[in-house]
Amino acid sequence: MSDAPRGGAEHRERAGGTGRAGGADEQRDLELIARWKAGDERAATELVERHSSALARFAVASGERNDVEELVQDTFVRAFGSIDGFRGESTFRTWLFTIERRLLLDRRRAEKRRRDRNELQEDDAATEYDALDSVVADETQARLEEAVKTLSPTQREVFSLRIAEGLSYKEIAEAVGTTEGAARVHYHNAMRAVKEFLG
Amino acid sequence: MNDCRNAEIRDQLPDLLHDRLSAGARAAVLVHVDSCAECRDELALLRGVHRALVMATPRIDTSRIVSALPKPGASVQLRSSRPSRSRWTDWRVAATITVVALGGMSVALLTRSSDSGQPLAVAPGPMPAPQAPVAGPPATGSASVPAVPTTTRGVGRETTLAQSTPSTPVASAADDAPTEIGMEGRLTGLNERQLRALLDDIQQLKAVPITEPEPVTLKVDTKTSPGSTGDMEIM
Repeated sequence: MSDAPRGGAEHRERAGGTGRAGGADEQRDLELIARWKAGDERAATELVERHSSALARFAVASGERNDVEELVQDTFVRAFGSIDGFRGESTFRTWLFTIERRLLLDRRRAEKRRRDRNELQEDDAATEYDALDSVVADETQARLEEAVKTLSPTQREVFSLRIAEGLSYKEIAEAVGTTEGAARVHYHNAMRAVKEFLG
Repeated sequence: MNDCRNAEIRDQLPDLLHDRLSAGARAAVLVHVDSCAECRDELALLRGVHRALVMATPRIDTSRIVSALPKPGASVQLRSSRPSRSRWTDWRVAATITVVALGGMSVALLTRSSDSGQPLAVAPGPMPAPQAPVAGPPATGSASVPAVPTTTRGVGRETTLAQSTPSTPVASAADDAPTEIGMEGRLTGLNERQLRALLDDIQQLKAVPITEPEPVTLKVDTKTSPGSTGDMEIM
């Protein structure tokens, strides 16, 4: 993983009241954005390397199976094309998740329209959220895959952003367009559903 | 798998997984996890889900993504280029409006000049009600330009055309026509012999050479003669 879980002292700068760390990553993103705006193309390379894997994971966790790289690329192209719209009110990564989620929804709508036109079988359409199949290596992960499949789309988004990316409820709420409290409820409902499925 | 009753600690387990806790918070959570089987199980579950997601994610070619990105400052250039494009568009719109306006004024002037008595090639409009016959245009208008009256007969109406083509044999043919015909340009005053001669002249029009025709001047007069009903004269 090029952007493995961010740790160390730099993440502990933003402790705040909740005991969460972080802040240096966000500051670094802002510096790179400023450099890119000033004409430094290498800054874009670093930004892509810092966030592309997280975007790919979110896409997979959200059920995207095909063209994950294309989706990530579209997300970056859209983001850099409207970089002036990023005002630093959220982290750059959360902003990227927001863009990627919109693109995902657009894709799903387009896919649904295409399916409606082609009148595909129901079992084909049910594969929308089959994200983890074909990749889990052992029985435990296969069971996890089945458990995650039982979640609603919103629960999966919140669950993956919380577990795979370690986003706070506030960041998740910004990314998926809900409230912090609702994100917390979604997460705990998802966790309960997964535990119940696993017995 | 049961839930730990300490919701605050459970909420921080994902942050512990991603090492996003401050030193103090991290120490407190670790102390709790060491003594709580439910939290240890949940932490193991979180690790399993995280690992599954990582394994499911394909490797991303970042260089390809970078090459597809817009160039730095592209959005700024786009915004700065907008006004010039707008000015250019505005200029073209203004020029088009000017040309159209000038064209419209020219047509209006030409139409007005034709209304003031000067012949103009204008197609006749809807036919007004028949009126008493009126003499044709003054001799000064047609004297210098010999006219060849030609007659076409439509359904229930007789039309007289006066063509002014001075440089063509048509004009010379008109010179041979009876004077009263050329001056008046009407058929109502002609006797049978004159009409026959006129028809003969018209037949000679076949000899008109193939040249670029001169502008045809038509004078539309919708008045009818006393003896004809609904006839139209074009002079």
